[in-house]
Amino acid sequence: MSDTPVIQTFELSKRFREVRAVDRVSIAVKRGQVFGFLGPNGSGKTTTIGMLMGIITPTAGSFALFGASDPKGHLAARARVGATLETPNFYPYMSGRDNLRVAATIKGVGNDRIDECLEIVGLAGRGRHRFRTYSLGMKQRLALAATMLNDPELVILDEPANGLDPQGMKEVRDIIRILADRGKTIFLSSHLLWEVERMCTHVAIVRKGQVMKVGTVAEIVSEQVRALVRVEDAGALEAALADYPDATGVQTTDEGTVISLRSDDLAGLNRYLAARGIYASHLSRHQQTLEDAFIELTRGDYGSMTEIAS
Amino acid sequence: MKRLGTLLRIEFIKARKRPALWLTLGVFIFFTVVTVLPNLVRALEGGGPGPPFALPWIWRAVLQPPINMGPFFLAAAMILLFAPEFGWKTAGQNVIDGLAKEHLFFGKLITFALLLAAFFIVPIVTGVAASIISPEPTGTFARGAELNHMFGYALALSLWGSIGFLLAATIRASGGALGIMFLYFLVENMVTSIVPVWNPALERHLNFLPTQLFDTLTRTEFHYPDALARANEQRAAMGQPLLDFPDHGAVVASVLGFVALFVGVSFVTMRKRDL
Repeated sequence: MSDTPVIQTFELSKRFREVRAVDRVSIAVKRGQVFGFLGPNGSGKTTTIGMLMGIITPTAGSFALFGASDPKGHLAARARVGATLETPNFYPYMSGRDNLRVAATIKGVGNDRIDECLEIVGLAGRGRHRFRTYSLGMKQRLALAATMLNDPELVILDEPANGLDPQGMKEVRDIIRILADRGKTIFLSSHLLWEVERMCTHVAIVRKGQVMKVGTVAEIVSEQVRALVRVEDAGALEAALADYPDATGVQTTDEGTVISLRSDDLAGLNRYLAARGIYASHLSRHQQTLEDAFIELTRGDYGSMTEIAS
Repeated sequence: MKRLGTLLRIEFIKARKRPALWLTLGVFIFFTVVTVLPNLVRALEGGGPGPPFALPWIWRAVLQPPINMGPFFLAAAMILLFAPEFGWKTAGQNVIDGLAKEHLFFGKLITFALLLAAFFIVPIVTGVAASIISPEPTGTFARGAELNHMFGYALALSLWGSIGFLLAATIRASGGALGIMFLYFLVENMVTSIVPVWNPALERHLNFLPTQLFDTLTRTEFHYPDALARANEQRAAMGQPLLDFPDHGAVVASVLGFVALFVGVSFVTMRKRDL
């Protein structure tokens, strides 16, 4: 197995008139990774995938799929990919099975695979019904079946849990797990952070078309030391922190006040607050979640952590 | 060759259960049969004063309105089959699944060619069947004038089918594309009737616009000398300018030029625009 990334983008950009939908995105997805591509709605996730899949022409930059960087190579590489974009895109007047026949014919796959894939996603009993009669969950599962037809090495899923109820989300998650367990590389775009945190090994966070941070989930969430403090007067606490040299940010949450620190000297923080007559009823190390990291990185889209100048 | 087989198969799977295709073709077949039926009944009852309702004379009766409206049915069928693929985003999904945009275009070109063949064959089969049933004496399949008439009908199919193809590829919504097609039809007819009043010298050029070309290609008077003579007798009696056979070479070149232009623009649009 070569170390060539399955997906690699080089300053990939797309402009729609004045709007910079994707702005110099450079990422690399290696074989076997479950790669989460996170961003708020309108951050350029679908456009990036559209460029990788050949339906949107980049305005600048380039990309490689399985090492192939020219259009002919991209076309050949797409035979090793199973992908679905945004909403499930099928012919509404045709049955689920006939829709899969179209995809299977394009992918050069026999009809026997259609039954297998319908079985895996739990649609074997509804395969002959028209697509337009399917519930959203069934449509998403049919889209997953279509991506699996050619037993792809790379599976690209764009918001696969969009509009699903908790049971539907779990079913989709289970299918993605099955694919990951089979060694497939998975590129998953989503804005459902807990979903991504549960499934992904690597993450890129995008905002307004730009990659803000990329790395393993652990790398994304653990770089900053945080403390969770509960006090009677949160306003006094925030005011006091303005002069605390170790503090870099403060955020009020339902749980209490979260303080970003330069060091993990929580005892020092406690002493500093006590010296100013602020006594904490709770002080603990706060493990940053992917959601915290995401909100911090996409600040402006969601609000929250206030920077402390020191 | 393998790719061609793939394109044929997927277009077949998509088209065979497409209600819009069967509805358009069904309505056209209905009009064809309904138009031919009174002539056939007359022939079965002993025939009328005109030429026999049998081969080769039958083509003049078969390829007349509303059967000669086949090109507009073909354009509508092309729009209804092609344009929704953008709204449903299935065109994009086909590319994601492994087709190049060019393949997608050629798949639709195959559909266009097959539909053109279908809309050409329907009146031909109807004519032959009516001639077999008709008790009147049958001659050869077609003579020069009838072959010209058929060729004109085929060219009209190509011209308006390519207009449907272009509108589907550029407008990407069946309602909008059909609306624009009918609007164009109206506007062109208005322009060709108003402009010559102001500038008679332009009339000759306006005759090479698509709707006027359709008229030239399918009009009985422009294929049969006796029909032209009869029409001119009537026009002379009414004090109208006389008709003349059109320059066939110029008409054919114009139609082929338009078809190449419309299909070419569709191809460039498909390649350039995002799906």
